[in-house]
Amino acid sequence: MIRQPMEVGAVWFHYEPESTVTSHAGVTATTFQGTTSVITARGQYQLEGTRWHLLAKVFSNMASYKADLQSEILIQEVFDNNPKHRSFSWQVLRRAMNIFGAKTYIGETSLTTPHFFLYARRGDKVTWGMLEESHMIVNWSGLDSLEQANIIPTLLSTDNRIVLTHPLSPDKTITPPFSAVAQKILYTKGNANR
Amino acid sequence: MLESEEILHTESEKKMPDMRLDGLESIYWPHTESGLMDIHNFPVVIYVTDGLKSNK
Repeated sequence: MIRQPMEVGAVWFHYEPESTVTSHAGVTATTFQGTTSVITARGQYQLEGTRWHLLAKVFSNMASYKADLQSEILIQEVFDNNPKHRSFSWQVLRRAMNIFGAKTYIGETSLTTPHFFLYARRGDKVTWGMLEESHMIVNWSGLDSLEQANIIPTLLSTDNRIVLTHPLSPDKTITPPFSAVAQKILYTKGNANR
Repeated sequence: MLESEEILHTESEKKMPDMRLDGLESIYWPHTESGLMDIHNFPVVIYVTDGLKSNK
């Protein structure tokens, strides 16, 4: 129910089904009513139509688009099977990125990285955009043990990484090592996950 | 704006619509369900978008 509705309004019905062939860079795909079905060597997957459209526009290397997509799907399946992996809510991520104007996000695949980050990467590999070393958001739970080990020296020597973690567990095993000057800049007790 | 403390700490599953057209958002939004209807260019108040799980 809409409280205090406006006296004048409009309702816009969009009733024509739209099914279009949206194959791209050697990957067979069909988009129907906002959902894209993608055919890969590992089977059929569905994703938001707008996500498919975004990837077709921003994947950094179109020559390896098909292989990159399959690689991202494999990583995503690992994330989906890891109960400790979390994708933070858009509100939390927007707030974190706006504090220092961060443009880069690390710690998810291209299938779930929010579209409001200009740059996305895993380690030194660009997912979309370009490599740049200014402030960036790091989803700690989205790094595997090797990636965590690789980024630790950077966390200890720089002050431009914004690390998102879950509330500290009693054994603090998920806590990344912070430098002495690190500060807690954001805490949410609300629904912080997607 | 979504960045208020109240919204940041809410327990509600309902997400407020936040359609912007900066950077890659200009690629993303036009192909969402609401974007295909050109909602982001339609000068109205948006009460709901697709994907809401809560009526709170």
